[in-house]
Amino acid sequence: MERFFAAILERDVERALSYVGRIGQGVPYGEAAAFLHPDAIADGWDVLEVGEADESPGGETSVRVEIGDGQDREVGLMELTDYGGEWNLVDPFVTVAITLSPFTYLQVNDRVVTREPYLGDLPSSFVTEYKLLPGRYQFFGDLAGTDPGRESTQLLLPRFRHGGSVPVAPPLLSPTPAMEAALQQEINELLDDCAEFAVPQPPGCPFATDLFLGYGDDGYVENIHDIEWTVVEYPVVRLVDVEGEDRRFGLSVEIEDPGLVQLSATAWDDDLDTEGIEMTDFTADCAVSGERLYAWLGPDGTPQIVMLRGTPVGSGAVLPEPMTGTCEYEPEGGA
Amino acid sequence: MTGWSRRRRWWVTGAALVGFVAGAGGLVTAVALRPDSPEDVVREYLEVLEAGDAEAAREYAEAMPEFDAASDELLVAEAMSRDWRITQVVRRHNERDNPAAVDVTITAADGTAGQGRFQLDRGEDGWTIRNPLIKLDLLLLPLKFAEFNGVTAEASEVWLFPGAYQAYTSVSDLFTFSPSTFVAVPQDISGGSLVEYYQPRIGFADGFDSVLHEQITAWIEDCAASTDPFPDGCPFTAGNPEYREIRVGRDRYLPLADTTVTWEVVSQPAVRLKQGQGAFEVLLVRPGEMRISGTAAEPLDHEPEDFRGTCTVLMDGVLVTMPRAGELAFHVGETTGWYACSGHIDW
Repeated sequence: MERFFAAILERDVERALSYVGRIGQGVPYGEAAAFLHPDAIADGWDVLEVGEADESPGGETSVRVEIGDGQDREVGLMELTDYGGEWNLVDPFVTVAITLSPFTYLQVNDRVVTREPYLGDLPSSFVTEYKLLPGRYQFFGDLAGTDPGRESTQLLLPRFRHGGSVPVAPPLLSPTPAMEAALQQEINELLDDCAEFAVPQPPGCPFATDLFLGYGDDGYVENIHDIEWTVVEYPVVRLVDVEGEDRRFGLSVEIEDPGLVQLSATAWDDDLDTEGIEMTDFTADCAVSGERLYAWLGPDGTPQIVMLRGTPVGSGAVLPEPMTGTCEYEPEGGA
Repeated sequence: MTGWSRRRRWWVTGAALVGFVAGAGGLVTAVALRPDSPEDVVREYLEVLEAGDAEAAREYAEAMPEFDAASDELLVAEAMSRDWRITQVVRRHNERDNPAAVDVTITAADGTAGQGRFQLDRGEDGWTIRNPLIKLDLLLLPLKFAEFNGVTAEASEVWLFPGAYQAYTSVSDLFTFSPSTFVAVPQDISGGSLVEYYQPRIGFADGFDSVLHEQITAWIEDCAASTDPFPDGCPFTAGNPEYREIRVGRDRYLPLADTTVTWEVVSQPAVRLKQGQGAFEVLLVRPGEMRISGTAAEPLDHEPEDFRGTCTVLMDGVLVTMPRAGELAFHVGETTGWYACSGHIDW
C-alpha cells in the first residue's frame, strides 16, 4: 500500500498500476483510463497514515488510509488480496462520473481531454465514467477562464465496499462578458442561417410557426407556403448556468429580449365567421425561443450553440418533436 | 499455424543475431532470444505492423476463430500506414499469470492516441494473441463503403490491423471527419464481443453543396422523365400508390390501365444534409415544384378526362447514403411524396 502511494506521489503511474492485480476489475484501459496519467496527479497532498491490515469475517483484507493536503483530510479503506503469498491491491481506483457538465472538455488537474457536446442522441458508448488514482483533485481547472474557488479541490479515496461512482460536476459558472458577447454573435449568425429556410419549422432553429396558426377567437391560417423569414431584430441573449439535469446539455441560453423574426407567407385563411376559406398573403411576428438552446464551452471559454431536437425527458434522453410555434398573427384591421 | 510461423521467424531473427554477436566475440544462444513473455509476443507483432508486413501480420490474425466474420480486404500492406508509433507496451499484472493482458498505446503522427488491450493465452506453442485485429462496424455511417488509408472495400464490417488510419480520403473534398485520424487499438474481448463502432462526426466540405445539388437535380429529372403517376423510388407521386388513386388538387382520379402522366420540373428543391444513424437526413430548405398532367377517370365516372396540377416536393422521409465514393443514393420513405399534388402541403 505504501509503495502504491509512493509511486502515485512520484507521478509514476505504471509503477502504481503494477501493484494492482487482476482480481476485482483489474487495471482499466482506454477511455476510462484517460486520467490515469501523470498530468492528472496533483501536488500538495500526502499520505498521513496507513493502518494495519484488517481481515473481515468474509475474508476480505482492508487497510485504513488517510490522506491530507494541509487543510482537509480524507479517510478511506482500501482492499488487498493475498494470492499465493503475493499482496495486490483490489480496485484501488476512484470512479468518477462526469455527466452534468456544460464543457466540451474534461479537465482533471492538469490533464485535459476534449469531447463532443452531448445532444441527447448519441449511442450509449458515450463514456462518462473515469477511473482515477487516489489523491487530490481539481476538476475543470479554471472553468474556461472563470474563478472556480478553493472548494473545487477535493481529496478522493476509493469507496471500498460502497461501490458506485463519485458524481463530479463543475461548480456553477459565472459567464464572463467575453463569453456573452461571443454567444450573442453566434446566435445572430444562427438566426441569419435559419432565415434561409423557406419552411414553417426550420430545423435546428429557435423559431417556428404552428402549421395551423390561430388568430382572433377562432380564425386560423393553414397550408402555409411560399414562406420567407426575415430577422428584423436580433434577440438579446445571456448565458445561465443552473443546477439540474439539463446541465448535461450545456449552459442554458436565456432570452432577455426575444427580438423579432417576421414570417411572410401565403396560406388558406379559414375564418369560420366570415367568408370561409380563402387564400391570403400574411405576415406574422415571431419570437426567438430559448427553450431548446444550450451552449457548450471550450477550454478557452468560446461558447458553441447547440439546439436540441426535442424536449429533455429525463436521464439525458431527448424526445424528438417539432418546435412549438413562436409566431403570433393578427390580420390587418383585426380578426 | 500462427505459433509455429511466429516461432520460426523469431528463430531466424535469433540466428542472425547469434551470427552477429558471435562474430563480435560474444556468446549468445538463440534460445535466450525466444519471445517467451506476452510483452515480447506483442512487441514482435507490433514490429511486424510497423514494418507494414501484411503477410506476416495476417498469420497472427488467422488464428482468430471469428476471422471469417468480417471483410479482410483492408488487411493489406497498402492500408497499413507508417504514420504512428507505439508509445506504451505494458503487461498488466495477473495473479494467475494466464491469460495475460498487455496494454498498448498507439499515437498517430498528428498526436491522436488510443490505448488498447491485447489479450494472450498461453498454449503449448507459447503465448498467442487472441485479439490481434480490430473488427470495425461501419453500419452507423452514411457512407456505405469502407475506406481506410486509401484502400476501399464494399463491406460494412472490416478487420483492421492495429495502427493509425485516415478514413475516406477519396472524398475529402466533400466531407470532414472528426476525429480526422482513427487509431485502431485492440479491445478487451472478455465480454465476448470485439466489435467497435466507427461513428465520427461528419461535416461537409465546400465542394459538397454542388455535388449534392447536381445529383438531386439528376435524380428528380430522372423521376420526372417517368410517365408513371406513381414513379417508384421518387420524392413525389400523384397520390397513394397502394390505392392507385391520383389526387390532384381537390380532385381524385383512378388511373386507367394505359394512363400515363407528364411530369415537369418547375423548380428543384433546395436541401441540406445532416448526419443521422446509417444515413444522412434531409433538411428541406425550400420545397421544389412540379407540374403534372394526364388523363384519368373520376371514381364514379369512368369517362377519361384531362387533369393538370401543381405538386410540391418536400423530400419528406428521404434519406441519403453514399454507396461509392462521390456517388449519392436517395432512399424514399414509405409515404414519401404521397400528398405532393394534393394542393395541401403536408409539411
